[in-house]
Amino acid sequence: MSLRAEALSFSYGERPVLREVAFVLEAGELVGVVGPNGAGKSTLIDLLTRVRAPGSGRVSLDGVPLSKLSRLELARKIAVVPQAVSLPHAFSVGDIVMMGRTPHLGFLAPESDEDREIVGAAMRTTDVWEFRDRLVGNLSGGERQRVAFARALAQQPRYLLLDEPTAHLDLRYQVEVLRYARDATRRGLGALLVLHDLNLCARVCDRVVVLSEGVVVANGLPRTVVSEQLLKQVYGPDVRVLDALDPDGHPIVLPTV
Amino acid sequence: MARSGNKRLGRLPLPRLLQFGVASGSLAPLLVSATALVLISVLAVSVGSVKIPLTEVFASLSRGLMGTTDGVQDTIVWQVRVPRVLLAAVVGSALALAGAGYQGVFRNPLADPYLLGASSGAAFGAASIKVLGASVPLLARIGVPVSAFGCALLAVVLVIALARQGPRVPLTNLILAGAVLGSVFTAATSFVMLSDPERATGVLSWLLGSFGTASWTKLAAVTPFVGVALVAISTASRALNLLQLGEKQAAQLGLPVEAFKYGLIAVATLATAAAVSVAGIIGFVGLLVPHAVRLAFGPDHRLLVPLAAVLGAAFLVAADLAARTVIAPAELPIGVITALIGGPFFLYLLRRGRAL
Repeated sequence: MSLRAEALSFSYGERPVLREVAFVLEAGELVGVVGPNGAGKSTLIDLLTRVRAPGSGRVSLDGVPLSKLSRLELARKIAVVPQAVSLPHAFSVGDIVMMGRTPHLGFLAPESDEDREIVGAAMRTTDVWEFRDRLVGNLSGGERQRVAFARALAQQPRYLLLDEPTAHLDLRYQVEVLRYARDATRRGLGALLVLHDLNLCARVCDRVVVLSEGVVVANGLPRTVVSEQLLKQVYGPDVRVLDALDPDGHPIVLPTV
Repeated sequence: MARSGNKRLGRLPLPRLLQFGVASGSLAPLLVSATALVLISVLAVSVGSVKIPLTEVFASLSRGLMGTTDGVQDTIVWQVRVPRVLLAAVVGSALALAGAGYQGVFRNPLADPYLLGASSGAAFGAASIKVLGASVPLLARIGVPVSAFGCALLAVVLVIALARQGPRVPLTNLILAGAVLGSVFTAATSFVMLSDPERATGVLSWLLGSFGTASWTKLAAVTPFVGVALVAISTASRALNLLQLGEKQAAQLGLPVEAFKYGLIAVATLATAAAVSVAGIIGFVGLLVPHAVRLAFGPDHRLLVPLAAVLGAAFLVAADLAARTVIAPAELPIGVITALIGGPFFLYLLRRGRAL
């Protein structure tokens, strides 16, 4: 059971964005993807959900090539938590989360009580149940992020792809969102987490993939990947990794301004 | 689920009774709208150059349904007013459905059949056949809607191609391209009409938008197309809702976005072409009605689409009633009425910016 990228390459016109990217996301695993702006992280999510087609290489989902699956089949297996700013303001929270049932309902079948239960459970998990009748436009960024997360859970996918889910969020909400992701992997989902915050990433992820200029330059345990030598190579000289680990045994990354 | 009204987002401050969520109460606003449509339609049959009391209207209607019409009054009711009211209703539905479809697909509350150039394209297609092909019997019957649909589709495709910047279709580009292409098609229509002055007068009165020549035949010609559009756009409601998340999220939730968009544009254009080929160019219905419904009841297409269809019908029946009564015994082109109401509404929306 895995989501597998094999030799994925993609370019916008002449400009290569991803080059021969290969990695595996196993069920139950939380994998972080880090890298500088423009490293190809968001494009990678587009390729993994077939929003874009790779120039070469392929993605397979539990052994089946992505290109063999219909959009609905794909959406039953893979859910994306987008950056929360991009939800239409005039829909209610309940409407948005119910949209997560589309892959199972298709476009015609009415919502059943079971769907409503699943949606309700998803909203309770991310703590937005009490907002269910409110319009998305009236929520804060953190609340919207939890709505987007609830919608992804309502899809009941096997794999979760999170595209910078903590962007624009304060520390408390960052921790909450990452905790939902952690909980989901404990229930057996595979989760891919695109993140800018290296410390958070190292703390929460089982494995970290470092993308730089479209190439996977490292893929391994946070403790081994998050090294000063590698980060300087990827992000430039203004970064330090402390010799000591934090009390929980995670590396500490500091910018040197 | 109850939906909370919201001033910041510009919802009308409706009484509690009228605020319905789709899950629990979409039937109530539909029933209220349908009742309004029936009432305004009965009124429109009753009022005219010859006033017919409501009791007489019902008597004539029942005789008409039994096929036992008798006398002048029955003829006025059954051969003149009923087809006229029904045609206005069907055309109003078609335009509002097309507007709801375009607005949903473009995620742009200002998209409508008129502004996208579809109406002008359809008018050109229909006028060409009405003028140039009128002497060929088969062409005159079948050619008008087919040619209207073809040219309307061409106009919409051209407008989108002109307005497009990469994957995005910016609002200003869309409106400008629609206006320019609409003008080009309107000029081409004038050119075609001038080539045959004898037919030009008849074609012009159709073009300006009128239900004065409504008949059961015309009603039968247009209704199937509008029925198809109603079923197709209603069944697309959930997909239209998904599309409001943006194309990427819609695809990630299972929607085959490209195929869906082109299919829906084709259906909306079909409804436009059907409406234009019997009733000429009637602007602003497709803009005004779905937009007003969205302001009042929210963006859920499962309610928006059927409500727009019913209220579009009611709006155009009322507008036609006004068109033939305000300067009676003369008649205004119905497009004058819809433009007088819709123009200011459009400007108001432009000023207000897009909140939905």
